[in-house]
Amino acid sequence: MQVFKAFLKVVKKNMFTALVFTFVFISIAVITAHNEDRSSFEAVKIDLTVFDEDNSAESRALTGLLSEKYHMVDTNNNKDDIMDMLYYESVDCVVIIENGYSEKLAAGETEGLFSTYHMHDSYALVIMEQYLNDYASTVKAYTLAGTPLEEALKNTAQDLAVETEVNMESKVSGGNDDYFEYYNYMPYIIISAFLSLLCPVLNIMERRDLRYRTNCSSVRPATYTMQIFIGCAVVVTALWLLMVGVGAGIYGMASTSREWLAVLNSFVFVLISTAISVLVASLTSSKNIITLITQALGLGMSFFCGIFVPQDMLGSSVLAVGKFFPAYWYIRLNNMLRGSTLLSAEKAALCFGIQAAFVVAIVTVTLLIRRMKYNSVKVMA
Amino acid sequence: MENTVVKIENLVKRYGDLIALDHLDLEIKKGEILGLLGPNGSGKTTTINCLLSLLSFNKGRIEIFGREMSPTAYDIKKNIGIIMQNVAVFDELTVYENIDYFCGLYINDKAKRKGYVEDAIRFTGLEDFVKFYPKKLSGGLLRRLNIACGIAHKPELIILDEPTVAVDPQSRNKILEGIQQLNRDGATIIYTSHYMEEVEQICTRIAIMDKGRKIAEGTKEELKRMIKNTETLTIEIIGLTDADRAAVAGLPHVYDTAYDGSKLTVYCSGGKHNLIRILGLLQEKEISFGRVYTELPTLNDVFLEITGKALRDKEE
Repeated sequence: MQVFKAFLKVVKKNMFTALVFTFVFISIAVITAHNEDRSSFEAVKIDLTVFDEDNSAESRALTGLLSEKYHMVDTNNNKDDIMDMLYYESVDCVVIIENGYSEKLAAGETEGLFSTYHMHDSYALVIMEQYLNDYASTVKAYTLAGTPLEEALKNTAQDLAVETEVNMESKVSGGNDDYFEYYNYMPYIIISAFLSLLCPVLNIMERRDLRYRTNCSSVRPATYTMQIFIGCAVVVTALWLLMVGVGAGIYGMASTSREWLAVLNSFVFVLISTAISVLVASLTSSKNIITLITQALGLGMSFFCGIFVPQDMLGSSVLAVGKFFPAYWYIRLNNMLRGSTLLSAEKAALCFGIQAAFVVAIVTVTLLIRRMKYNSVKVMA
Repeated sequence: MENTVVKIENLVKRYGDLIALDHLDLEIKKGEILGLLGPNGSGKTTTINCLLSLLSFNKGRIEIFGREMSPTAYDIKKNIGIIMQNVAVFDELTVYENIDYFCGLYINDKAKRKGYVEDAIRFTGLEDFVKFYPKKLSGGLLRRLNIACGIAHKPELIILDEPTVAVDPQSRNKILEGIQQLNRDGATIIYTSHYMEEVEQICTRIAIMDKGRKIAEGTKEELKRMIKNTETLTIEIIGLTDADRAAVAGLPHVYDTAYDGSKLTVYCSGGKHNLIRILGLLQEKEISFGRVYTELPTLNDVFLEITGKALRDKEE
């Protein structure tokens, strides 16, 4: 086991970067998972400024209503100031109650009552326009029914004050939600730590001159490869156990079958990351290129596959690209396990199967490349 | 036959249209230091790669220790040590760990290996540096470590592929002494180089290669006897006339002369007392002369005469 022992010694010398990666990203994952409050719902209050140019009892009633419902921000009635406030997002929307508002309202008109300043395509505009339209339409409905304007305003205020009640009961609980959130971040940690550790170590073990010397010796190439494989297995298992152990230490041991499946899912991803690391190491020995690939793969997979941004918030084109990365299937399964999407045995098997297919595909490509490289290493001029 | 360690018969290696080895025959006896001499691209390293079965060949046969060499002949490989011109060691392992690693590729028995590693450390004089990492070693010490890694398993056949390239003269001498010591300890050695002085110094037999062919083989004396030139005399003379130069050229065993206005060079082929005869002629003709040099032929002269080109470029 000379090769295996040398492998571990080389790992020891290169461990620092990988450990830094692991601890930094575990910390980020833990903090992010811990800070995310998924137990309550609160309606968004937009920041609003109202200029009442009508200054009537009716316009003041609307202003009072808006100030109860939204967060009012004071500013000068000056176009430049308004533009600055909107640009710097100090205010989401500015509503101007036009002069003649009370007369138009009494006449049952709903057009030309208000004007707004807003950022292009602002969601605040949609909310405000809907609210003001509802307000004007409701007042009009009451006045058309013969209700005096003053009473119509009161009734409208009461009607629009009714809030939709939101209860957080939508999902099947797969276990501790933070636990799954932690496992959601794990692909990024695994791929970054493995690439930063295994690639340099494998490159050292495969250094042309060292490999030449080994090829001249009485060690069979298969024995050499097997010892490198065992070395990789020991190292990645140790790192994976460390990550799982940190998760268990913070969130407790996996207790439900879904949590255990999340652990299994992460192990499958460990196999993928190991295969990717060996492939990258077979392709290049440049530290800069390895760092570049680590960042590109780690961040690319994170953004395309739903590690940093949930998959249900990603566009269809992004998800279509994400499907070509193994992390997409990892996250998809993890989402099913945490209860964000419906879990079925078939879908879970599909996710595991596709990840396994990635392992087979990457290993096959790697073996082909290594075969070609081995033949070239044998003949060192 | 049982005295033969390496036998290469009719070896042909082609890279497409390029013939790297052209029907090479070579035999190395036990206890020899065979110098494989030739310019860059002459086929020395290709020969070594074929010998180690790291490279397949188109035609021919290689036997080592009386058995046919093949990529899976691990029992043969066990008795071969290789030392390359570049230092191939792990920067992440100490001197001891490096020697132990490479020895461990041949020797599984831990206790036996420990003894072998310590012997290699003693042989290369690395006792004080066993815990050092290679980056802390000087160039000379690195070379010694490289050698220790190649010989720790006590191979019967040691192949040294230009081990002194870019080595300072002091370290070079130590390396050459070490190689001779290994040979005295019983190892058969193949030494490739394009430094003829080294080959002359340590090799018991020399094979000169060019364009994939063995163009000459023998001891250095035998090789030098193969060529016309046996002695070159240089005499400082001012104002030598054509008639006097013709008189020198007419002496027995002189086959050529050259004169540049201050130095007369006389090329002799065979015979004895050439210098006395020439100086006698100069005295007789009352031609005054300054310093006199005499040179015996070198392997470069051998190579030059056989191939028509120098073994090494002047700048090397």
